[in-house]
Amino acid sequence: MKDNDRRPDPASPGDSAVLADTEADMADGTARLALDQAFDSGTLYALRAAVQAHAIQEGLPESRTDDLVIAVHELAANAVRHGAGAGRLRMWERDGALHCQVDDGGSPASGSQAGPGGNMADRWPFLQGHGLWLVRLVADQISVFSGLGGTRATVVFLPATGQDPSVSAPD
Amino acid sequence: MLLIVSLLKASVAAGESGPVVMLSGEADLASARELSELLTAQLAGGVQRLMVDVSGLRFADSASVRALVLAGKTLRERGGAGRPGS
Repeated sequence: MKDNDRRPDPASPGDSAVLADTEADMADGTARLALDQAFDSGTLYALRAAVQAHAIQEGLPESRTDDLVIAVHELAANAVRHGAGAGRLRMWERDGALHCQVDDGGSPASGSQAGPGGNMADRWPFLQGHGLWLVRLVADQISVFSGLGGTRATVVFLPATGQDPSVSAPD
Repeated sequence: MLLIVSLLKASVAAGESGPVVMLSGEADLASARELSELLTAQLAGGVQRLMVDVSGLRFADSASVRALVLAGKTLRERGGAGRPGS
């Protein structure tokens, strides 16, 4: 959890470049959306199945596919537990890397669902939550950003070669 | 390709030294409470040993692992043994 940047920084194509969000990636035409799926507590199994199928389709090795399914599930479970009870996953490919972005749908506008605390920063409890600890173990990169629209978490799984996509295709 | 369709299935049998809980399918947030209640029920009556067979589980998330760990903790606190088996 070292990077909350959501825009690429051309001057230093490091974590911030590959952790760009969906809109930024789609806008510059370098990304291809693979999956866009809403979920809630009762449909997490369907989300896992879809993520697994699309990760295989994208050529992710089997062992990494398992890791990806675990990571996305735990992020989605956090969204269900600590957000508005439902969320949305978007998965896209860019330069061989798979990006998965989970939005928890939380909004201070829907105050009745936001809970009495109202503090966005502690929506997804990092220290107590074993789920996020697990995600950090298996994902190559992770970014979590809480704002007015709720919490958005993005994980990146790099190509099997271990090559940094921002090095081979800077843009 | 493996298609994931079903959710958690659980059955309980009487083992030689205590109940044996057999889990299969997928355990996640949606079934975590159910799993926790099942384990708690099996721990009732001063049971000292509980075997959980997870060999049929295709998926278990952190909420499910937590339920298993807490059951083990309960047993250890009463001097018994709880461990996942396969």
